[in-house]
Amino acid sequence: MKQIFQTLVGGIVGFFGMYFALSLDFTSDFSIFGLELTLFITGIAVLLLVFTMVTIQRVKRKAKLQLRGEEEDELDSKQYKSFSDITLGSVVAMVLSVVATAIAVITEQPIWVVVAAGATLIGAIVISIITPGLIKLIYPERDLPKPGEKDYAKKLLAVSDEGERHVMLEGLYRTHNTMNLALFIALLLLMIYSVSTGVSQLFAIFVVALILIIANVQYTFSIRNKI
Amino acid sequence: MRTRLKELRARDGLNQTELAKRAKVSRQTISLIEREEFIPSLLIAVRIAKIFNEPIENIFIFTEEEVE
Repeated sequence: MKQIFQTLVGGIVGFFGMYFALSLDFTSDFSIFGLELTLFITGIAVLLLVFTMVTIQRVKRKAKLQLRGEEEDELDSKQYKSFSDITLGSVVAMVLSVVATAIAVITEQPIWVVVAAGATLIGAIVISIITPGLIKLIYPERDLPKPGEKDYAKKLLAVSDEGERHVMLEGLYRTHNTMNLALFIALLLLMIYSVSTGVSQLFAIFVVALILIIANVQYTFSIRNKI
Repeated sequence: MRTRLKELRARDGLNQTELAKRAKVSRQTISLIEREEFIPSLLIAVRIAKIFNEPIENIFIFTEEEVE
């Protein structure tokens, strides 16, 4: 699984890295390769959706197994990892299909390309709706909130024990730091792009800046009021 | 902190899932404690000590520097 994602990420980074290197004149005309780019990104999103669907089926199949001893622990560990892979796969597929749909619409691609990207987006949304329900299947004995229930995420956090919260805290704090840095770099890149191409990215700069401020205000207020 | 959880589980023939159920925590928490990546709360430590019928300090072993 890790290798698949590494390969996929490597592919995406390589593709965009090469594109960036080959177009140092900063062309802003995405319509030239809008079709290829839409199909490429949609293709990756579809592959991810297929992967998540296969993994969902595997999780369902394994949930019926009755094992004992260390095998039971191993199964639980595998199911947990599979659930994480499904969640990640569906989120990445959703983001990619939104990007693909946006490229298709903005660069005025043929209607079938827009429909293909849109259908992938719907597929990703459906899978992300199904995914939380798998927890109940993996942990049938736990009193977990039903997906779609009001304040689902809050209730799920409330029923998590201290070890699970420790893992979530570590992951979220690392993500918060990465996100801060990444958004700040995004601001700089957008500024460089605007100046180099003459195509204003001010709207995107405002949006990124707003997200950066909201995220930090929310985080800081949530910790400063707990004293 | 060093822990004898794995050794005690083997002694009593318990897997992580069974121990987790008895201690009313997730298997992930037991796994984290065993890998010494997480120090449990006093409540969980007491529950685990009770399950193995051992004093807490015989299960969770701290170095002198840690307790000073």
